[in-house]
Amino acid sequence: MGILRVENLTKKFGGVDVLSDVTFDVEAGERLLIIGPNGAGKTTLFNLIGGQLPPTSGKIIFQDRDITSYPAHQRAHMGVVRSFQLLTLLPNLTVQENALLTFHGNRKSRLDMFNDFHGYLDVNNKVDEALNMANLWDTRNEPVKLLSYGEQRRLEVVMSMVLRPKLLLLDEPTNGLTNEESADIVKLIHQLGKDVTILVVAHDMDFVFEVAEKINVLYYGGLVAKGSPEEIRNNAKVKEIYLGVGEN
Amino acid sequence: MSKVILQKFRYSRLVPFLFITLLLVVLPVFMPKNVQGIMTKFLIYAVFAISYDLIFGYTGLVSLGHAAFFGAGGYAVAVLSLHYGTNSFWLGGILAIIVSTLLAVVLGFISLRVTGTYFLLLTFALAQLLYSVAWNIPWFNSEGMQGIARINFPSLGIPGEIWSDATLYYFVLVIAVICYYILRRITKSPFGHALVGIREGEARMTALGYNTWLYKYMGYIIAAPFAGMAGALFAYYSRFISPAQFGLGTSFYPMVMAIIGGTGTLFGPVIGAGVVVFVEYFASLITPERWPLILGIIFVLSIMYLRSGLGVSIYKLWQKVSNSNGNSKS
Repeated sequence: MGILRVENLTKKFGGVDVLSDVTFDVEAGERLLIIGPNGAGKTTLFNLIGGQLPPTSGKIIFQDRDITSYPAHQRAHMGVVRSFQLLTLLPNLTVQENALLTFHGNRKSRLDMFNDFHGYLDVNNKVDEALNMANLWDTRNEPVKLLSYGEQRRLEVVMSMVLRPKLLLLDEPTNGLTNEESADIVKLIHQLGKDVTILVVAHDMDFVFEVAEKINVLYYGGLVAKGSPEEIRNNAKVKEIYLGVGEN
Repeated sequence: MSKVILQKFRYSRLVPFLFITLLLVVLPVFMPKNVQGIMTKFLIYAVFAISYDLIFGYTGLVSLGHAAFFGAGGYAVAVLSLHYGTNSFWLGGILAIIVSTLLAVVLGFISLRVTGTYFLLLTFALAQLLYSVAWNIPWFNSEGMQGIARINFPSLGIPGEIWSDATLYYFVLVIAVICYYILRRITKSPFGHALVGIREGEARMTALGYNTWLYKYMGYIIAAPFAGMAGALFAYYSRFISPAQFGLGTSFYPMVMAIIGGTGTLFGPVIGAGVVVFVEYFASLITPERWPLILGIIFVLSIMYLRSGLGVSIYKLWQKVSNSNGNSKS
């Protein structure tokens, strides 16, 4: 069994099946892409895996443990880290404060009430690493809301990488970015070692074929195809429902 | 080695703090006695306001029931005085801390089941509940009146100690400085920053691995003993405790102080407490009936023109002055 198994996962909002009976496995170290048109349930799937929403039925198994009922913060401690489609950095805090909170989050020091927030050397080293990697060192004392959209995106992706998660969930990491900015993100993802399993939800086809080893296609809440990028590219059904739509 | 962040400790940062402390030590000597009393009241409310700021300004929880802890501290001292005839600060102060903390453990657990407006209403309702308990149960009242009267100055058990209004002032000053220091350390810690993170975006903090409910609960509990201590000091100061200490008016005080002075800064609410207490005093000299009107006008003006708070504006002004004095490079 792989690092993550999603078993018969179903989510209903009211009477609508946003996800119905989705099952798949993810091997450790794999780069799995989840694609599908708008409303296919991609972000909902991430919300279920990340613990932001409870599923209506089905199971999520991470490293042989059933984590279906675990709260999000506990999943984070187990090494499940996600980035969000809509930016959720803390806009009024500075770049540095955002980074510090991110790296304290996975350590016992997050509960420290008496020592200086800025006084942890190993946390500071990670902040350095992330801010240098994201090329945002010079803006560290600016509130995040003053950064450009692309910079915020880059910061978020880089921070989730420096956390060295076991399972990294990237929700539309290149959404709304220019081509160069997307290329930066792709480069960053290629830098990550095989100890990190990556699940990406994406829209952007260039990006999909650049990064993916395996692709799952979601369509109206159901899984309609799985396979290598080649197979997916040649899959008639996928062409019809997804790529075909894009060509019109 | 990290190039950050070990920020150089600048002694100039301590200057405003030392200056204010010195002012608070020296000034009352030259003041008329009644103004000295007002200074004491100011410090007590400053402790109350910084306690509330941890919940309100840092964590972003709007509570209308902070009087519960203030009243609990006050009644702890008052009941000891009424039924057990002791005014020992070691008993009264510690009992105030214990009672208010335990109360927060219970009330926080109930109120934090809900968020937003419902949290506000629930905290308000629970404080009102305590109000009616204090009002209706005879054990909490001196004979023939609502409230407990004739509370003496605290005693520290030092042989030959002599208490006066001035002693009480300096006693309150010491405790206020200690409270401020502890809360300052907490708000500068990873825990304190996590509270701010929760205020700014709870969903993200959860995804980062913070158990946000626990943080809010702990923040709520930690704030309580400071409010309880303020209530205890208030009992020694006013020598009288009434159910109004649990009332809505009392809950509003720290909120107004925090907003006028600047929320989420600790320093701001202290300034806010000064403004409110002194305006109340001087305005009631001019118009004893209508002083809330003057306070209201100041409140409205500060919201309209000093959004981030008077304390923050003063702090920024200070930074400008100290930066233009030569060492502009930090």
